[in-house]
Amino acid sequence: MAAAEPTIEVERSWLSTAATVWAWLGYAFLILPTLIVIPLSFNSTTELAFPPRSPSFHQYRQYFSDAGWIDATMLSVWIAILSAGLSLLLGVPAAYGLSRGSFPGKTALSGLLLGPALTPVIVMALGLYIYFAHLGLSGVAMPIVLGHTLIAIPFVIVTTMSGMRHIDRNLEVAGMIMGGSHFYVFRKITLPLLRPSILASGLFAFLISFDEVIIAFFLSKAGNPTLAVKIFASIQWEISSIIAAISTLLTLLSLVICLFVAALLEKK
Amino acid sequence: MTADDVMVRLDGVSKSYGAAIALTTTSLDVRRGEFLTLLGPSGSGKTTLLNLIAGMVAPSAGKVWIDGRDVTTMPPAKRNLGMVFQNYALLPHMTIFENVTYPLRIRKLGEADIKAKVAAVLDLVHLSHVVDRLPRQLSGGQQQRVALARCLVYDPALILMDEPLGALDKKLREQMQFEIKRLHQQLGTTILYVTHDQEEALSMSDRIVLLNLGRIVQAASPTELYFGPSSIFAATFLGASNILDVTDVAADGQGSVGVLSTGQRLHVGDRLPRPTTAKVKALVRPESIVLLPAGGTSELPNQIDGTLLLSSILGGVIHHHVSLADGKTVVVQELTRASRRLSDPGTPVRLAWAAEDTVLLPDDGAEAA
Amino acid sequence: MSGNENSRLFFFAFLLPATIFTALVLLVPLGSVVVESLTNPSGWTLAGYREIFASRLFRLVLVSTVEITLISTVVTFLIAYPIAYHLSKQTPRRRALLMMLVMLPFWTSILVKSFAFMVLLGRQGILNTSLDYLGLPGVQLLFNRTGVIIGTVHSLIPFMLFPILTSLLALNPDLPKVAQLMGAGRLRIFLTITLPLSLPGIAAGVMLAMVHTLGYYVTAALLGGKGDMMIASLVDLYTREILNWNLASAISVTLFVMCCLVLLLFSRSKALATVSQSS
Repeated sequence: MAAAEPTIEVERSWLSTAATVWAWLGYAFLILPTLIVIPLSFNSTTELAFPPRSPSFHQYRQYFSDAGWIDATMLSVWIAILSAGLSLLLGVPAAYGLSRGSFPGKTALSGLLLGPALTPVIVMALGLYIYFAHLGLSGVAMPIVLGHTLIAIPFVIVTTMSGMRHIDRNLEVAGMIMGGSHFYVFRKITLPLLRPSILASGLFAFLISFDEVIIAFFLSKAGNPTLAVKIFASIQWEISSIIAAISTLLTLLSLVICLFVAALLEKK
Repeated sequence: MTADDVMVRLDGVSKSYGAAIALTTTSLDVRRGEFLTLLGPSGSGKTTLLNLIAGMVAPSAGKVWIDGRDVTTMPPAKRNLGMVFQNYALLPHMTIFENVTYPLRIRKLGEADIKAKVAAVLDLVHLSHVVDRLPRQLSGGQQQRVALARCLVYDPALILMDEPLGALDKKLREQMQFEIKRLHQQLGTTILYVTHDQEEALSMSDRIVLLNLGRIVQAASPTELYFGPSSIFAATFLGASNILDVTDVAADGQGSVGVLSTGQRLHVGDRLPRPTTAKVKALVRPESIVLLPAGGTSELPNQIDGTLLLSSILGGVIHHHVSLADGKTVVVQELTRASRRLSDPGTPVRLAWAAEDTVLLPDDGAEAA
Repeated sequence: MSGNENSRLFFFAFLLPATIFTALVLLVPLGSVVVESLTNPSGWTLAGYREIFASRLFRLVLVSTVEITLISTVVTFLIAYPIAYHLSKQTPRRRALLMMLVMLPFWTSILVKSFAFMVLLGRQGILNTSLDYLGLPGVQLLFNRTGVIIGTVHSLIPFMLFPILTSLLALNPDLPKVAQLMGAGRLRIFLTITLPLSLPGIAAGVMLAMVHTLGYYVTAALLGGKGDMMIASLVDLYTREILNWNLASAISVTLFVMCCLVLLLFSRSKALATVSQSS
């Protein structure tokens, strides 16, 4: 058959073409700033030339050999791990309770637990600052972990709840009919099925904490900043290519986590 | 059919998606004013056929004509069709009035004209009193009637219905079947109806097009299809059926043809043409068989002995499951009577039926429905 | 199953740790802020509030915050809706791929994004150097309102996009189909069906964008000039430099109340339900 397969005539209008072009410009606007830091990080000098004049890994070496930067990074890593862990510990059971339970005040309760997502971070940061100052505990890592956990919990709950939607309730009912208690069913049936969502929530919680700047800014000790705080301070003094290198590494972290989570959740 | 009579013509139309064939090369004519049903199981190609006529997809080959125009590549908006969906597809944010006026506003009718047409069509479906309500305030049946009204209001050449009653419960479905048929008779619009429910098809259609695995198996009126199926698939898809194996198709002088696998001769009437395949099977509908006690006599020429397995009363009819000598089970249907005493399982019985109730079907190894 | 008393208790118990935690880490510190805003070395007083509302600086900052919030929200909508619409028309495979273009910026640190704009928009930045190269006049897009808006809009787009996309995907696909069959063109379908039915998503997106922007700090601090201070920057100023916790708290409470007002405004329109759906 030599003839081409017929297709339905599509109504071509300049408006729909313009809308598509505009959407693509939107995608470009979204992604380009994120990508621009990458070439900049390969500058050999602190000056930000684009394209870099004599590309090298110099800035990366600077970063990895600088005790100040590495200490800040390690502090951020610890805080992020603790925050992620704590928010999973609190958020996953809460998500389970919200999606399977029904009791009076459930809406109010979910409003409370998701509230931190709609509260200005600065207000929470100030609150924690004042509260811990009154307790005499200013400048210790623990308040930061608590603050980060607070803002991560809504994400954990929402991600886990969406994972719960894919789990057939009947599996749990069957488990209970066979004699399992609520907790046993949760542990042996629900939790393993929830693993991708839990992993995804944990990674996101880690990222949220690692990148968080306002709470950390308010609660950090003077000479012991988190990575985000140190970057914030540095940017305000001068913008140099070491920041570009660190930014690239951060973007890489975000990218890896995004791709990993996308692959995780696709498997469902 | 003259050219004027034809509302829809499919000429050598086929549709494949890559290697997957959704519809094999098909030709079909739909008469003006006809109520035609596309009937078949899922994946039979009926939805593809509907979409080709609606203009949602273009055929891989062939041409589509509606009301004398070649619409093969014409977009749906220009084909002047109406369509009713299973989920009613009423615009949830508009009142019933606004829903029904939607197609009229597209056609830029005047206000007075619009009001008159809407009033008339809502009156037709007995829903004038809900004109200011929102779809979610109406029951399923009411919503479907509004959807129908919305189709009728702009007088399309052809109305497509895609399993419109699937979301309704049985009682409502029967009421709506009656409603739709009544409207069809009153207005004479050409209707193309898609369903997998054979009872629905039998009760409403002027003609049924039976599809399976992307091809038209048989296209005929409900009675022709029911009493004269041309394949095992058609026989088993429409109505209940007993399919018997035939071991020898030679005719003998007494007007009988064939030997059943139980050894009896099989008497066939001459109402229908004989299949041309080497091997055949025989169809006998449950309601055509008479259940006699063992050794009972009858004028009916086809008689087989068997053992009663089970009798169950299904309300208006009784189903007797009878086991034959070759191991096959046959279902006999009998009208319920209060005085009817059922026999115990294991009772020997005799089955009898008329020659003209035997339908020979080609045995080409095809699967039953 | 969940009607049973035992079950209810069980599920409630699962929520207890998170509830206690949130009560202690959110409500108590919030309470501290409120208390702090009402106390003064001389005891309980509304003097803090009186002082900041009388302050010219505060009023200017309040105005600029509201301006930035409103402008950013509108611009974000104009960019986010077409992207959401485009995404809704893709096959699931393509949509997942294109979503990466939205997800990556969403999960990138605000510092990295602000830094990127500083580099792009500065006087010696990439944009100006390119314009220079083409012989075109340079533009001042940094350390002013425009820079703040650009940076803020960039961060807000995902927040507005997700709820809008959710409501677009929830649209019954038979509705545009039936409209087509009735003779409607694409523009009519969009204006009479798609847009009205995506309104809950739009409301949710606008609500999220506004609540976020009101509390914004980093973007304004890095990309803005002196006239672009936001309320959050003021809180920082009073806390760490002027060391007046009373006033800082009063400003914070005002900010919190403003956010609550926005939430209240949108609480009617099912926006909150849409927000929790769109993740």
